Order: sequence, then C-alpha cells, then structure tokens
Amino acid sequence: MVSLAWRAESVFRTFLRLGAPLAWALHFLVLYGAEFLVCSRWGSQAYAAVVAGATLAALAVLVFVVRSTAAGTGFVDRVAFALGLMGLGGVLATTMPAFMIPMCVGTA
Amino acid sequence: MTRAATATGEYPNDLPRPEGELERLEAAWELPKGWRIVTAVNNTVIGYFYIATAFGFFVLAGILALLMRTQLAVPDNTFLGQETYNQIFTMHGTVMMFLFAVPAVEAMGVLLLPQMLGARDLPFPRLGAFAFWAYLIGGLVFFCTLFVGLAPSGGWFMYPPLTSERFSPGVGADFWLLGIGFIEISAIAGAIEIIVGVLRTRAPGMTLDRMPIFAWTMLVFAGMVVFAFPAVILATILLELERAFDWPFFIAERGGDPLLWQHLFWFFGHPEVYIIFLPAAGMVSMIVPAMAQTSMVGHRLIVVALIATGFFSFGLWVHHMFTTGLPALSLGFFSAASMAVSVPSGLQVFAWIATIAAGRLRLTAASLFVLGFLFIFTLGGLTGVMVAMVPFDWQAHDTYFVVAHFHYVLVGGMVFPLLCAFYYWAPAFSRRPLSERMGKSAFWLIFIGFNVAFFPMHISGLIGMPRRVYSYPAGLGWDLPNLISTVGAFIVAAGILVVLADFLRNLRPTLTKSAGDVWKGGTLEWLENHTYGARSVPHVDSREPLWTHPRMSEDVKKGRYYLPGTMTGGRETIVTSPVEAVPQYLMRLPGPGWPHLIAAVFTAAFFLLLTVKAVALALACGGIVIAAMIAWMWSSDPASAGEADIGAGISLPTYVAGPTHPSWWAMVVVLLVAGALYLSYVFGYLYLWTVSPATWPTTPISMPSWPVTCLIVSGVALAAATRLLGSSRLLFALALACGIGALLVGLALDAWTQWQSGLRPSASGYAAMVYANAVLQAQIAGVVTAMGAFTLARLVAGRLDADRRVVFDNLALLWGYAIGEAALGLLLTHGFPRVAG
Repeated sequence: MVSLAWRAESVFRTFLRLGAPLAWALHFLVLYGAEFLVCSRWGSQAYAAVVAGATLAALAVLVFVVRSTAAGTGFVDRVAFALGLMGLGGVLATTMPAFMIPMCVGTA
Repeated sequence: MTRAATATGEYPNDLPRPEGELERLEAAWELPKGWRIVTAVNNTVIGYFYIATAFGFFVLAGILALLMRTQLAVPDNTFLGQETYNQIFTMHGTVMMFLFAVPAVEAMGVLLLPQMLGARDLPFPRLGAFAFWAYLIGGLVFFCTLFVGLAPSGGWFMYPPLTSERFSPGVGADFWLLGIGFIEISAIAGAIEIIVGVLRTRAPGMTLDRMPIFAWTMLVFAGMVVFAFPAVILATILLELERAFDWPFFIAERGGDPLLWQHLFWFFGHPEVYIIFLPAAGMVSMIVPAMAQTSMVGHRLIVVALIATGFFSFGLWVHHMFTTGLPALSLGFFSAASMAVSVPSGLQVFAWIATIAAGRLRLTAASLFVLGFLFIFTLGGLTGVMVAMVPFDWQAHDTYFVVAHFHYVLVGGMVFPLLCAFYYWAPAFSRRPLSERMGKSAFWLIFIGFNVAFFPMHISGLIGMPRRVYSYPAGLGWDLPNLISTVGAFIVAAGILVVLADFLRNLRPTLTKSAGDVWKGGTLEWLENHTYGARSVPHVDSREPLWTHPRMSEDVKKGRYYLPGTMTGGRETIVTSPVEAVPQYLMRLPGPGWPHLIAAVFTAAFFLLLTVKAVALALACGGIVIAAMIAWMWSSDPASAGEADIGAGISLPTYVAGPTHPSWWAMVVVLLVAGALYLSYVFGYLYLWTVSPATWPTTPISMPSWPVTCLIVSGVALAAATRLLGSSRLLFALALACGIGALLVGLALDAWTQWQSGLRPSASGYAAMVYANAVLQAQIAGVVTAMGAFTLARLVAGRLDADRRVVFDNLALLWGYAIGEAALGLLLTHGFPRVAG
C-alpha cells in the first residue's frame, strides 16, 4: 500500500505540475466542442451553463495549482506557478468571446 | 556523490587511467569502414546524413520556388503550364514543410543533443537510423514523382473535394497521402527518440533547471509532434480510404464533410508552425548567450514560454478556417487564442533582446543571422496578429498577403536560425569553421533578397492578388510587385549559393579533430567530441558548466569524470532520473547493423507499392519489414552483465525493468501517439454527427455483449499473464495466447455484427466512420499480436523470465491500451447513437 500511495502521489504531483496548461487545453476543448454538440440539441441556455461550468472548473484548478506551487522554491514548482498564472490569463482570454458574441448562432 | 564536486578539486575517477581503457572505448564505438558506413547508427553520423539530406531538399524546393517566381515575373507568362505550376507549388510547400523544416530541426536535435546532454548517444540509435533512412528513401521517391508527371497538384494542404478521386484522378494525390503519412511516421520515431533521450540520458547533475534551452525546445517540439502528427496521419488514412474504397468521409451529399479534413489537417498544421519555430528559437537561445558572453536573461521564463506556446498552439487551428462559415463564437475563441499565443512568443523575443543588451554581442556571421531572424520573425509575428483578427482575415485570406506573412514567419523563424546554427556550430563538428567573410556576404544577400522578394507580396495581396494562380493579366497593378518579388527571390538564391560554396570550401566534417570551442560557448557540446561523445561524462552543476569550470574540457578529456571507458566491452550510456538527473542504470546500446536499414527500405517499398495498387508485392515487403524488425529487436534486450562502477563509488545495474527502463518510456510515448490518433478519430466521428445527424441510425443494432465479454476475458488474461510470468511458463503462454486471441475475436465479432446488420462503409459518413473504427482497432490489435508472438518466442528461447521482462512489460502496456481503446470504440459506435438518436 505504501508503494501504491507513493505512486498516487507521484502521479498527482505530475498532474499538478502540468495542471495549468492541461486545464487551459480542456477548457478550450469543452468550449469549442460543446458549442457544436450542445447547441445543436439543447440550445444556447444549456451551452451558457456549459461555458460557465467549464470556466469555473478551470479557474478552480488553476487557482489550486497557483496556490500549491506558490511557496515552492524548486525549478519545477516555479515553472508550474508561472504556467498557472499564464493559464489563468489564457482561460480568461478564451472565455471573453462568450460574453461578446451571441451563442449558438450559425451552428447546425 | 561525495566525490562528484569538481569545485573542490575532487573527481569521480582518479588519474592515471588504466592502460588500454581509451583504446577499448574507441574500439567499441568504431565506425564501419567504406560503404558500410550506411549501417552506422551513431548520432553524429546519422546527424550529418540527416542535415545534409534536409538541406538538399531545401535547395530542391528552393529551385521550385525560383521556377514559380520566373513564371510570375511578368503577366500572361507561358514559361510554365497550368498543371505543371500546380504540381510545382504543391511540391514546393510539401517539400519545404515535410521534407526540410521538420527533418532539419529533428536532425539538429539528433546531432547536438547527445553532446549537449553529456550522453554517449541517444537511447535508441537504431530507431533514429531507421527514421533517417525511411525519410531519405520516402522523400526521394516522393520528390521524383515530379519528373514523371505523377506529382500531386492539390496544394500542400490537399483539401478535398479537390483531392477526391472524382476531381484528382490518378495516383498523384495517393503519392502525397501515403508518402507523407510514411514520412510522418519517421518524424514520430525521431520524436520518441528525442523525448526519451532528453528526459533519461542527461549527464549526472544536469537537473531540468540546468538543462540547455535547446534541449527544452526539442522536448517541447517532440511532445508537439506526438500530439499533432497523429491528426494528419488519421486524415491521410481517411482520405486514402475514401479514394481507394469510396468510404465517404469528406463527401457532403453522403453524410461526410470536406471541412473534417481541414479540421484534422490544421490541428496538425498550425502546431507544425511552432514545431518548426521552437527548436529554431532554442538554437537562438544557445547562440545569443555565447555571442554576448553572458547567461541568458530570463532562463526560467523562457522555459515557461516554451511550454505555454506548445499548449496554446493547439488552440489555433481554426484561424486557418475563418472563411469557412463556422459559427461566430467559434471564430471568437480561436481569434482570442491566436492573440494569446503572441504573449509567450513575445516573451522569448524580449529575453533575446535583453541578453544582447546585457552582454557585448560579437558581430559574427552567426550574430547577423540572429539579428536578421529577430527583425524578420517579429514582422511576421505582427502580420500574424493582423490575420488573427477575423474581419481582417476575411479580406486577406488566400491572398498574397498571407503568403508574405507565413514566409516571414517560417523563413525568419526557421531558415535564418538554421543558417545561424550552421555558422555557430560548424567548428564543433568540422576541422575548421566556416568563413566569416562568406557568411556575412551570404547574410546580406539573403536578408536583402528576402525582404525584396516578400515585402511586396503584402502589397500585391492587399490589392487583391490571390495565391496559387499560375498567371495573371496585365493592368491590375500586380505587375511591378511581382517583378520585384522575382528579383528578390534570385538574390536569395545567390545568398544560398554563397552558403553552399562556403560549405564546399570550408566544411570538413569530422568525428575526431574539430576546430573546437572558437566562440567560448559554455555548454557541453563544446567539449572535445568523438564517435562516443566526450571521453568521460561530466558532472554538471550549472547551466554553463564550461564557464563555471574552465578546466572541465581538459579533465573530461583525461577521463576524470564518469564512465571514462567501456564497462561491459560494448557501447553504453548512463541513464539518469528525469528531473534530478541522478544516475540509475547503465544502458547498453546497439552498434552498426543491417536490420533497421532493411526495415526502412522495405517499409518505403510497402507504401509505394500500395500507392500503385500492387497489393501482393506490398504485402511481401510488409513481411520482410516484420522479419527485419524481429531481427532488430531480438538482440535489443540483453541479459544483465552485473553491476558497473562508473566512478565516484557509483555502481549501476546493467539491467532494469519497468519505469526505470527507457523503453518503458518509449512505449508510453507510443501510447500517447496512438491515443492522440484515436482521439482525432473520436473528434471526426462526433463532428460528422453534428453536420449530418440525419445519416445516423435511429434504431441502433443490438448491444455488443459478445465483444464486451471478449474484452473482459482479454483484460483478465492480461492480469493473469502479469502474475504468472516467472512462476509458470506454460500457464503464462496460455494466458498470453488466450488473452490476445480474445481481443482479436472481440474486435472481429463487432465488425461482423455491423456487417450483418446491413451497414456498408460506402453508404454514408456514419457507416464509413464505424468501419474506420474497426480499421484503427485492427491496426493496434495487429501490433499486439505481433508483439505477443515475439514475446512467446523469447519465452521459448529462454530470453524472458521474471527478471528479464522488458519485452513483456512493453507488450502489457500496449495490450492494456488496446483493450481500453476497443472499449471506447464500442462505447462510441454503440452507445453514442443510442444517446443521440
């Protein structure tokens, strides 16, 4: 069990270090992919809920990454921290069009 | 590690070294003589071959560019016919992107990385050699199609329906699809080698923080290749299936969609720009500090910027599709991401400028190319921000403005750094440096010529000249810009000729006596190098170890550091941990041989024969490939030779299994490639549903209970085989055979059920996707079967047991993945229609 716990922690730390760009990538994928899948079936209100949910989830992950790595002094932690900040900017930039452009216009 | 600190005057190994140690090391790494050099696998030899080949393709594609510019110099020109022009511009773009740009940066990685990381070689030398020969043979045959009128003519991005069987009959498009698919496999093989090499073969003490920026860029580059290239490989498979068997993935009236190709192509195509640019930026990040004699400003920020650029670049692909009628909000997402990526890119530019300002830049030929790169690439980046804005892109799309933009980005961001790298690193690999005088002349010719050629294209584009026209009438205002562009193109060609003349006059490639560290660089590639790299492997405690320890070169040469000889009598390299670079394992490396070369030749033959529909001969070649690969792999897992003392009291095992072994890492990367390919397929499946839901079944076929049962049996057998290895050979063999058999039966049953339901792949986009799933699953299952047979053969031969188990560990990873992918396939093809129907 010790080995299993160690492995789980190791996997967790790896994901933590890559968490920021992964969160951005998944958020982007959900926003873009869901526009086609959700809009064509459930309409703009459902899609707005998906955008809000995905953005909140991504921001939560990013804040967690930033807080977890902020105190670290090692190279990998510092890089993860900076990526976390950049990821926050990326997620906000990606979400911005959802506030400006009508949803589900032009989808099948 | 007590004796690893050089600052205190202590070294891992004492002097004098035992008599004959150096001679034994040299003998182990001796190169084949004469024409047998083709069997060599050393990174230096393969690196030279790779770079020469890539540069050769650059010159060939450049000649094609000159032909195009000659045709466009004046209105209504008849120098080239329409079809010939179409073939030439298609080949120019394809050769530059697939046969020059990506292989060139990969080649620089193969040549430089082991030296820079303090390794004797990359961990899989035969894989690297295979990748090179596959690229050379495939590339040459592909290029030669131009001389027999069989070249593709649909543009380098080969959009259907133009490239469908109906509008592009003949084999030209097939040559592109199979040829490029094959070359991409070669690029992926190189990427696997680079990822594992960078993460696992760094010198002791070279933590990630101390790793050279170039190695970081190659790591990001290779990671991007792993995720980007599978999308275009899938696209080529689908289009070839459509052309050969009428499976309508891209035919709109039968439930397909031509835009699916664009999505898949550009999901690869846009990251491709950064795949090319990042390693070039890495070269610049190595050269600027050496030329300015100061450390790189913002080293960590550059690493952050590289990783961020790598990720962001996957969110930009639709900006090539702004005019295809996608929903406005989608355009907004991609426009935002396109602008966001300029932030990390800009970070790097500021870091280079700050480093130049912090030091004293020597104005050498290499420095001039760096300055030229900064100027041209920044201009390309600025026009990139312009075309990232949707309204502007609608106006400029498919005009010469875009041609100007991407040439500023690609030539500025890749060709200038590459030429800079030639002038900078030539002394490390040549008996004498290149000529500064000729280099500076070449720079001015290329820099001026480039701007004369491409700047006017912004103007011709803005006044309406579309790209890809073979001729144009007079009086549209396009005459003068085109004439100027043509003059500029020939000035660039003159500059390239000067570079070639310099190569011929001064470049003397060597593996023994190079000109040495003439620029006073601080990183390990400036140690005295041989076929085996440096005499001993240094302990690294800073980012510029040669600046920190001025005597390091001498001490390394005397053999004072790690592994000063050969411990097992053969080729070896130290494998270290991925983050802290702590020595873990002494990996034995293969020497020269024929199997990888035979495999490369016959893999090329397999693809070419398939292109011309000679299926029986192609299958015969496929059989030879499998035989060659078995011969190649058979000796690649030698038994333990005990512990080896590499110095400083460190004894390393000569056999390990599981995650410590580099091949486990390589297999994980292969699974990432396979996963990326399958996720691209899932995207395609869902995408076709969004555009043509009417072709999806309203009453799905019965639940796949038998295939599911087979997958469960296969999974149980995998778990059993993992436990039984080492306890019962017979039961292990039984579990292996039954488990893989169950996987095959499950997949076959599912395909049979679909067929029995009356579904035919040519009926609709949906049906084609269902059978494409079967094709992809069969590919993986086929590899699992071959590896399973190989594992059983090793068991019978006594080369597999509880300790010597690397072959089975790798099979288990792939087997588990195959079960997972098959389960996902069932969920998608059976579950999704039920949810969506």
